[in-house]
Amino acid sequence: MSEHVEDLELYALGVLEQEERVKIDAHLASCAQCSQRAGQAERVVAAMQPGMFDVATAPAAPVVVPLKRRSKIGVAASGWLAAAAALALAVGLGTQRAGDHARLAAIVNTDDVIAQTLVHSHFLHAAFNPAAQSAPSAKVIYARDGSWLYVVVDGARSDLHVACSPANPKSAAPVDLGAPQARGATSELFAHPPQRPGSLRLLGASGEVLAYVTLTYPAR
Amino acid sequence: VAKIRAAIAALPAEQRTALGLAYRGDLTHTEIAARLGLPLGTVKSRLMLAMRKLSAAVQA
Repeated sequence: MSEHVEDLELYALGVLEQEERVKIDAHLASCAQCSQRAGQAERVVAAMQPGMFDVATAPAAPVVVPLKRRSKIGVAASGWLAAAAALALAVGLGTQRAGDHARLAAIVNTDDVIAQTLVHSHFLHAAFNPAAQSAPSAKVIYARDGSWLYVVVDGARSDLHVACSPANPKSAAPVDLGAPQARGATSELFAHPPQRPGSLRLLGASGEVLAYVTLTYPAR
Repeated sequence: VAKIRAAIAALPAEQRTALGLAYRGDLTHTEIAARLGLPLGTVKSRLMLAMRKLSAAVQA
């Protein structure tokens, strides 16, 4: 194991240069002790809110996750963890507005895999493009390194599948990542794709493509 | 959240300023240093100190 890292607080704040962040990402993958310290620091960041700093800064809209509907869902912009959870909630807006805070807390507290992943990875997001009239609204939150993704579909559905094509289509065939599971007003799928995903397709009961999305990985 | 709010308010102004810029999410530590006209090492130590105080406050 390499030496423990020193800059976990800066990592949690998201101010490190990309090469520094990549090094720490690699270390955290193999070091439970540092992962725990990073998680603690990230919980601190997640608890912060823009109004807590009486310095004159621009509104603290997270650049990685521009959440246009934030004011509607009434979730304070308390850092990117909340933004991620709020993004997951935004899909289910039509049916659920009250109780967003409770639902956010439920996501963070009850599903350790998802919570840990949200806490420990920098992520991107994208909306699915409808390919059929019956396409449900759907979004995906995914890791910058392609190591995980989290699909949220509007409505409690049990008839859907998510298929994934790798970013480099020569390297592997498309794979079925599984079926989103109904969770209240949304259906959700968390997956570790075998390769960095290049595109996702939301499939209906008979395998027809309902919606698709291309995943991009911009350099920071 | 209340603990964080109080702990941030209790930070020295220079640490709070650096932390506020870091929290915006679109600046690297190098950019924050340039913005504040400070050496990178100073900015890093202010952020580290601020985060450790907040972390201690949350755990207390």
